[in-house]
Amino acid sequence: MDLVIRNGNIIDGSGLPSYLGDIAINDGRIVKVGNVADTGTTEIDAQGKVVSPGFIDPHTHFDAQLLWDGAAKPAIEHGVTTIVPGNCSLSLAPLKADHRMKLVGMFNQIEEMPFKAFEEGVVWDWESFEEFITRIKKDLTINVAPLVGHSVLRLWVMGNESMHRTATEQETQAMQALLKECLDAGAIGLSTSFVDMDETLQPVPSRYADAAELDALCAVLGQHNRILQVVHEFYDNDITVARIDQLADISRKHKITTTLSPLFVNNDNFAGVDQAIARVVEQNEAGARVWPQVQTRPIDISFTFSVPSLLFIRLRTWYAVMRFGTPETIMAAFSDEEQRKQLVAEASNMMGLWQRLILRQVKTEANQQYVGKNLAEIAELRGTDALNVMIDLSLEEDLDAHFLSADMGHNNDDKVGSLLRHPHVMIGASDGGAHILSFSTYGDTGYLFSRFVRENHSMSIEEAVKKITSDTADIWAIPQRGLLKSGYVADVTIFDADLIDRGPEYYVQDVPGDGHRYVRDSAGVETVIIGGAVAYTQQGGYTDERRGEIVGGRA
Amino acid sequence: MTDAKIIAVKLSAAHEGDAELIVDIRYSNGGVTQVPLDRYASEALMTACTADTADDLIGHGWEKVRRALQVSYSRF
Ligand SMILES: [Zn+2]
Repeated sequence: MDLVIRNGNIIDGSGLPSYLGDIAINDGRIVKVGNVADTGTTEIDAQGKVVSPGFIDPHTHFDAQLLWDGAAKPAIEHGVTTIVPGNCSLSLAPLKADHRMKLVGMFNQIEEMPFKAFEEGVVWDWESFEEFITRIKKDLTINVAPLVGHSVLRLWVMGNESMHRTATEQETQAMQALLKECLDAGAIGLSTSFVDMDETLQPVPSRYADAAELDALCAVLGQHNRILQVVHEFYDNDITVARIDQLADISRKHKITTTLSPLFVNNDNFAGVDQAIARVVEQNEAGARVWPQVQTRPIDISFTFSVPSLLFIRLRTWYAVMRFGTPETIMAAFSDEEQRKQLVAEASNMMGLWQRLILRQVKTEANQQYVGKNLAEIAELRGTDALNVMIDLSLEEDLDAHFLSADMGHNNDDKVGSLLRHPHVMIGASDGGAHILSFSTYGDTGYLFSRFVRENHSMSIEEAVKKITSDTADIWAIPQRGLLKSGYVADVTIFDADLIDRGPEYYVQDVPGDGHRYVRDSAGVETVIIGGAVAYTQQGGYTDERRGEIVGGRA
Repeated sequence: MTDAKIIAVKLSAAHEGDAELIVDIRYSNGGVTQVPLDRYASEALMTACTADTADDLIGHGWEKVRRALQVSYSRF
C-alpha cells in the first residue's frame, strides 16, 4: 500500500455524516475506505482532522500562471486539487502566433496579468489546444479541467473581424470543427461572455456572436456531452433572468449542462436574486440544467486618491476635489489648512467607515509598518484620528497609499449562506488567478467553512464539503473525483474543522517580470494529496510530486 | 416611460473591487429598476445633472442616465 491515512473524521463528499476511519491509497487510487489493516509505505495520522475529497474550483483564470507554475499557487494550500481555467470566453489556446499579443491584451484587461509576465514567463510554443495541453501537462501538480474560450475560437477563425461582426455560415462551421478538435484534445467545455471587454474597452469577440452561432457551438457540446459556461449581465436582474431562460432552452435542446457566473446578493434588493433563483428552479424542473455560481467571499472596495473613487460621491467637497483635480491639486487641497479643515468636517460623520479602512500598500519604507492595519489602529499609534491618518498617509505617499474597505457587497451572511446551500446553486466564481492587482481570489473554500459553517451555521460541514467536491464533479461531469470511494482517484484534503480559513490578504512579488499580486495564505489545511501523492503539507510546504492531470475530457 | 425619473441613489460594490453608484429609476407605471453606473458613467451623469453630490441626481430624467451609460459604453 502506498499511503494510508489513519483515524480521520471521514467526510466522503456524498453529504453523509462524518465517521472515523482510514483510507488506503495505492497507485494513485483509493483502494479502501473504512478500517485498513495493511501498513502503508507512507502513513499519515489524521486523528482529530477531517479527511475529505480535494476541493474543486470551477471558475478560475489560472491559464497563464500554469505556464510557469503547475501548482497554481496558492490554490493547493487552500485544499483545492482541481481547477477549471479558461472561463469567461478566454483561454490561451487555440491561438495562432499572429494573435498572441491581442490575447495578451485581453488577459491583461480581465486578469490584470501584466504584459511583462507574458514576455518573461512564457515561451510561446503552442498554437492548437492539444499543443497547449501537452505543454502544461509537463509540469502539473494540480488537476486541470480546461475550458476553451469562445472569444479565442472566433479570433482563430475570423481574425480581427471577430471583434466587429457576426460569423458567416462557413465561419460558424469552422468554429464548430475547431471546438470539436479542442474537446477531443481534453477541453471540458466551452466558455463565453456577454459582458467582458478587452484592453481597449471594446467588447471581447464572443460578444459579437449571434444566437445562431452560440447554438451551433452548443450542438457540438451536446454531441460530446460537455458544459457551457457563461458570464451573464449579473448587474442587471431582468437580463439575468432572460439569460437563465436562454440557457435553459439551449440546455434542453442540446442536452447539455450550462452554468452562469457570477450571481451576487445585492444588499438593497434581495428580491432580485430570489427572482433569478426561482427562475432557475422553474427551468430545471422543466428539464433544463442551469447552474448559477455564487461566490463565498464578500466584495471589498479598494481605492487610492490618485484615481477618483465613487466612495466620495456623496461628499460634495471631497468629490469636487477628486473629480476636477489633478494629483497636484489634490495634494494641494490636502495640504492647505483651510481646505483640509473643510474636508475633515464634511467626512467626520462617516468616521466608522474611515476607521475600518485597511492600509493595503504604500511605497515609502517608513510606512510599511502600517500595511495591513486598519486606520483606527494606525491613528492610535500616531495619536490622531482615522480621517486625518488617511489624509496624512496619502500626502506622505504622493497619493499612492492604497486603502481597502472590506465587506462592501455580497456580504449579508444569512442571505449569501442560504444561497450557497441552495440545491440549485453551485459554489464557485472565485475567479482564482484573475484581478491579481486588485484583490486576492484565493481562499474562498476556507472562508466557506469559517464563515458559513462555523460562524453562521448556514450549513453543516458535510453539506459544505459535498458542495465543493462531489456536487461540482457531478455538474462538470468530471469522472472519478469528488468522493472518497474505492476506485476513485486519490485527491484528498486533510484539514482541521476548527481552524480551516483564509488568511489575511497581502501583496507579493512572485509574478514573472517582477509582477505583483494579492494572495492569501490558508489556515487549518494540513495535507493535500493529489493523484495519490502528497502535494503539500502545512509544515513542509510543496513537495516535488507532479501528479496533476488534465481531467474531464479525453486527455 | 418618457417621464421615468431617478428616485434614489446609493453606493454599492462592483465585482472588480471598485465602488459603483446605483440609481433607482421609477417609471410612470410605478415600476422601479436599478441601474449600476461605474465611475465614468457616474461622472457623466453628475455633469449632465450639474450635481455636486450624488443626492442632487434625484428627480432627473432617465434619458440622462442612458446618455451617461453611453459614455462608459461598457464596464466589463
Ligand atoms: Zn471569470
